Amino acid sequence: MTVPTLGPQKTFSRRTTIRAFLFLAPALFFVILLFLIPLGYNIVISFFDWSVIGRREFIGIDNYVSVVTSERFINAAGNTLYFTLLGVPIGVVLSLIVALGFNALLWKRGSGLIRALYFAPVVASLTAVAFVWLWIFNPAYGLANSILGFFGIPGQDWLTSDGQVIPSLAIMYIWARLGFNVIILVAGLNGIDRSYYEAARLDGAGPLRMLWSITLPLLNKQLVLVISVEVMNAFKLFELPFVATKGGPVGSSRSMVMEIYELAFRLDRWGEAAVYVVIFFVFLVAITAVIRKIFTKDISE
Amino acid sequence: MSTSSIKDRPSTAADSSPAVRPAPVRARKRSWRSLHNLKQAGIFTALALGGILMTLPLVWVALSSLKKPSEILEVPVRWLPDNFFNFDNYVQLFAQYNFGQYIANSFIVTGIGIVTSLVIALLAAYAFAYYQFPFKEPIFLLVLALFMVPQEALVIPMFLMVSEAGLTNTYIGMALPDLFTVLGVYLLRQFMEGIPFSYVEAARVDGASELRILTRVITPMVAPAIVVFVIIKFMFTWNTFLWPLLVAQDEAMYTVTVGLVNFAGSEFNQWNLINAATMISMIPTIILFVTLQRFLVKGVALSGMK
Repeated sequence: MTVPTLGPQKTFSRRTTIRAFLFLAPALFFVILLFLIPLGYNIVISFFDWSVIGRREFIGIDNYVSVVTSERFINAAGNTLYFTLLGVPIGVVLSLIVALGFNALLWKRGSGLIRALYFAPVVASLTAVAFVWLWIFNPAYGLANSILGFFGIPGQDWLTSDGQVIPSLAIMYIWARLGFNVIILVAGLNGIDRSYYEAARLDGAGPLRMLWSITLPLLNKQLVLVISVEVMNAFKLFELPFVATKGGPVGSSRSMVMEIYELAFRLDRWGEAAVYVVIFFVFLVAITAVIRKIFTKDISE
Repeated sequence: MSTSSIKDRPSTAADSSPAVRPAPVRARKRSWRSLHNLKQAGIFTALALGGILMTLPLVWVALSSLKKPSEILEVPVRWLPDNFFNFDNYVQLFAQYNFGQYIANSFIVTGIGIVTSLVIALLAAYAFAYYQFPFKEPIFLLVLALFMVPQEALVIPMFLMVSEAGLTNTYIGMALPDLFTVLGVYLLRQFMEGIPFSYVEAARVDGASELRILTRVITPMVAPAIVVFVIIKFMFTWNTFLWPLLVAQDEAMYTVTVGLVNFAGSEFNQWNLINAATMISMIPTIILFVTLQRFLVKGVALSGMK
């Protein structure tokens, strides 16, 4: 019997290789079925005038041209970007502040309970989150305006005003995601060797200097993960506006994924919907690459 | 005494010039300590207040779900329901609407997803952890890269595939994107690589088949990782919305998230009922959270440790 071995090795036993691929087969099957085929299929559809009842006509890049020049696309891409640029930086900075707080807290009594309070919203589905806040932001009966009223601040329109709708959605999103990020960042902070701080303190470094020169570079991995996941989640914004605003008022909260849904499943324009998907992925890959670049540069300094 | 608090906000006392040195040691120590305690109390209070603020929306929904229609529309808001044991809203949701069915559907789809993705992940992780084969790392990197591909973005081709295969309105079709999860492969591989290889070698010498080694030796040893994975997977699958919205077209097949949205659309402004329905959709994950919070937190932390 061939005994598969660990460790670096350049030649592979044939039997081991066959066995390994047998174990991997189900996973690879689903990688192909759930990711590679859909990705390829989507690109194909994007070049067709495609209707679900059977119209399939190759039209080259016509879908791309009509999508990119359409007002709907510019509106949806703009809304999604605005939401991402608002929600992700604020969310990550808040998560970092809370994580630093937990890391600085030496009192262990009760800290687990407090951590649970931050994490609780994470278990709610985004549909539930949308209803929770739709009720809180209700201009007439909602908690938000009641609390503002208590402090003498006039009630806001929140989700029903085209100027406030994206910031309101960003608040919902940040609330739903904060606990998740805090836990990842706290785990990263726990892994930082305390002796770095001792040394920096002897050199007379202040707290901000230590945060900037020690904590953030050493938290690099977790920050890249948190920011990438945040960007991805913000980018696929769907449930929150779908439930809470239906994309309104007057389209001011329509997101990219909402347009994909609308074009394909309501208007039967699958080719154009597929173009949105392609653009979505190009955006996502580009942004993730930029994030990685920025943060790997940081660490070398 | 306080090494780790120093690193975030070194106390001003610690930075003071050496000229202060001659002061009596004991007095200095005491003032240092009280300053330190004060700072800890400050951090504790700030974090606790933030935590209460974070939970407030959920508490508010829970309270609202127990109110009568007349109580819920009071202005300014009424914080507490008249009767804390008024479960009329919940009773009505189960009696007049199909929430029981929605919950059952969600459990079936989530169950299929958990079992299948766990088995697949165990097999794949075993190969990655204990075999050397060509293109091992490139394949692993390809799988990992998919971690960043949101399924939501692939609904167009996925839906066409599922409907061409006649799988709309079936549990398999609804569970399809959840049958495989990259996170499981990653988590289990990490754990398996922490197990001394001698366990596998010993079992092989005893003549155990590879599948038997995986099921009898390795699987029990990675039980903590399995628990973590199952919890996270439950949470994600239970909370999915877009895919079941597309594939479950008959009302009888709705999952709880789809049922909730559909219900709220038909009962517009019945906020006592909508709040109760929101609670119903969250109850399984909340129970999971309250009972297994430690594992859930550990799982999230682990998934961030690559």
